[in-house]
Amino acid sequence: MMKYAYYILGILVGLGIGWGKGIIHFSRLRSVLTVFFLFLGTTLAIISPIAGTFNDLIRANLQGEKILPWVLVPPQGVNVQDSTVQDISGQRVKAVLNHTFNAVMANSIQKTTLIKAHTKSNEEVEITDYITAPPIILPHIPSLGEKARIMFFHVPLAWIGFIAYVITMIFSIRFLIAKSDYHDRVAYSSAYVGTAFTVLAYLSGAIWARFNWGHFFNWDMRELSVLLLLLIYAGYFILRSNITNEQIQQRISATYATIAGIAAAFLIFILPRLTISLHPGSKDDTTIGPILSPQQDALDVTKAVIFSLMLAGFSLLFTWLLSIVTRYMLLKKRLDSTNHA
Amino acid sequence: MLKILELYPNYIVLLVTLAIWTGMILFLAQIERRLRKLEHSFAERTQTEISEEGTRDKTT
Repeated sequence: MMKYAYYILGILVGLGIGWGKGIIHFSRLRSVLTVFFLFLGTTLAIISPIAGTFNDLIRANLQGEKILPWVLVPPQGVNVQDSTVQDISGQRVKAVLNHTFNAVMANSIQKTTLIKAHTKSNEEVEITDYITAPPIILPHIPSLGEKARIMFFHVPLAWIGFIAYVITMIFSIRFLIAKSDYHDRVAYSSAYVGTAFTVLAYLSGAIWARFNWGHFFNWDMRELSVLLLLLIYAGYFILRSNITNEQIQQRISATYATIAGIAAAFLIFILPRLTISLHPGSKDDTTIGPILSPQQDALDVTKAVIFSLMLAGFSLLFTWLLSIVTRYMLLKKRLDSTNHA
Repeated sequence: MLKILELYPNYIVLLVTLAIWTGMILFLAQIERRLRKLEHSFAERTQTEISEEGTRDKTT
């Protein structure tokens, strides 16, 4: 599947460039590309118009959505004889004749046009606004509408948060084998930055839930499991700060982080799929959401590319933060040992 | 003000988000600069100590 390739590429580019020279070295390329990917992805995710078909428009109108989607009209999509407009899927509806209809007709002779319309009935619309279609258009996702834009922030934050916990586990295991300060500090820093990402994913998810499901917190299984995950890592930080002997502190926290990594995988991939919940991918869900669903209506190249740009941007931001925190911790350790000597 | 929000909601959201990114990036760049300065001065200090120790060893 092409869209999965885009996602993997986004993460690999982000982590690969970010980690390239090593996490304990400053990299100008990492900083510059963080800005580039974050700014480009954010701009495209927020200002690209969301467009669909007349069916999407009618459904959104019935659901009482405040902002109705644009409808994509192909060139020659307006028929003056019977005053009808055809959308990109081939559906044809009757339009109320007004000056906007005439303007759309003139514009759509050669160009693909986006129209804003109110539905009079299932067969008749009144066009209120139009623009020439820009090259980048996001697909309309039923029941999400304009709210779908938060997906480009919430999901990458959550994915990178989980990757951070995996890195913590890997470096904890490496510490237990090699007993190196570097592995311990990278593991600790990754847990630190990963928790920041997970908290941001949780907050952005709560805002999304408020507008989509009615409440900030809905006792949904994934909301509960991520809350539990955050508590587990809060335990990691408390444990670490309460042991004064450095060797014992490093060994116990590495063991804890290894077990916590396994718990994280269970809490994220298994538990929410065993129960009925509001999140995509739950037991009663027929699809696995607009990001991961392999169904035809969820395969949109523009959406996948913008999503992978955001993944690359957030991965680079993660490595930059990880580099800063790790270097700070290693420097502090060296300063402490110099002062003691 | 509210009229602007209604007319250009996406552009306002974009402006706010980019302002947050810019603030965060500038903050990170500042921390990065300070950290590099600290790393540099610490490396210099260590180098001086090593050479001083070397000189002391030779004289004794």
